[in-house]
Amino acid sequence: MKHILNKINKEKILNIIIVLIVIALYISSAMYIYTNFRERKRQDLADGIINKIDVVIEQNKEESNNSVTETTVKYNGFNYTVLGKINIKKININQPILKENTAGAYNTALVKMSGPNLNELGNVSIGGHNFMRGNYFIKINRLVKNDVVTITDLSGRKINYYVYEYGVTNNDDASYLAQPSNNTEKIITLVTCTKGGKERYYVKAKAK
Amino acid sequence: MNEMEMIDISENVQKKDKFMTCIYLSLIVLVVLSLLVYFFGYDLLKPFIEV
Repeated sequence: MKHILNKINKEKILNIIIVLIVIALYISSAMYIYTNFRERKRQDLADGIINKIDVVIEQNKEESNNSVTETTVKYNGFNYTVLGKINIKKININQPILKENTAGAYNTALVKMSGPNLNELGNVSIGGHNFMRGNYFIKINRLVKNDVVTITDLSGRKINYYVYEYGVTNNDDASYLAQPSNNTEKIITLVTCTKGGKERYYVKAKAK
Repeated sequence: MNEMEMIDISENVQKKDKFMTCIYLSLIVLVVLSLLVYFFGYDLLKPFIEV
């Protein structure tokens, strides 16, 4: 008798575990779909902004207007100050570069953290989220020496930068933002968080 | 003499079968629902998703 009661109790516990597993499966599926949709919407947003700045770039090219460094784009009810766009074919990144250094801007696209105007002499730092899932800007960790990063500014200048250095540093070390001492080089530094924000992964590339 | 033989466990077995059927059904619903939402739900849910 005792043996049977024990068996029934064990079965009850097993049933509860099975139910919990099914609930966990529902929750994780919902989370996976939500994050995927969020990513898709973010990419839609970025594509929309890029389409708009492509029009601005074409206009500037026609007018031979080389002095334009930023433009305001209205998209989906929000105003974005756009500086240009970045394309990294190897890791399938095609994103606008925003001027606003805010959480909202980081959620939308890539942000210029510091440095001179795009495609000018000096070190321009561009930051982006990795969104903890390792499939957003952390993809820059797949870049190796001589991979190409293309920056297009609003006057239509398109410059290829070649990766020459990459690594991980503490979040309180900002030496990768420093300007080159000679100031005769055009450098792009791509930065993102890693290890839950405790460290920064950076990639440096320069124009040849 | 033998207590074990006196206990009818057929009801338990039926309950167990019913429970497992529910589990299998809920798993099938999960798979079907997930696939439908993943492939056809984006446009519908787009306005509610915050980036």
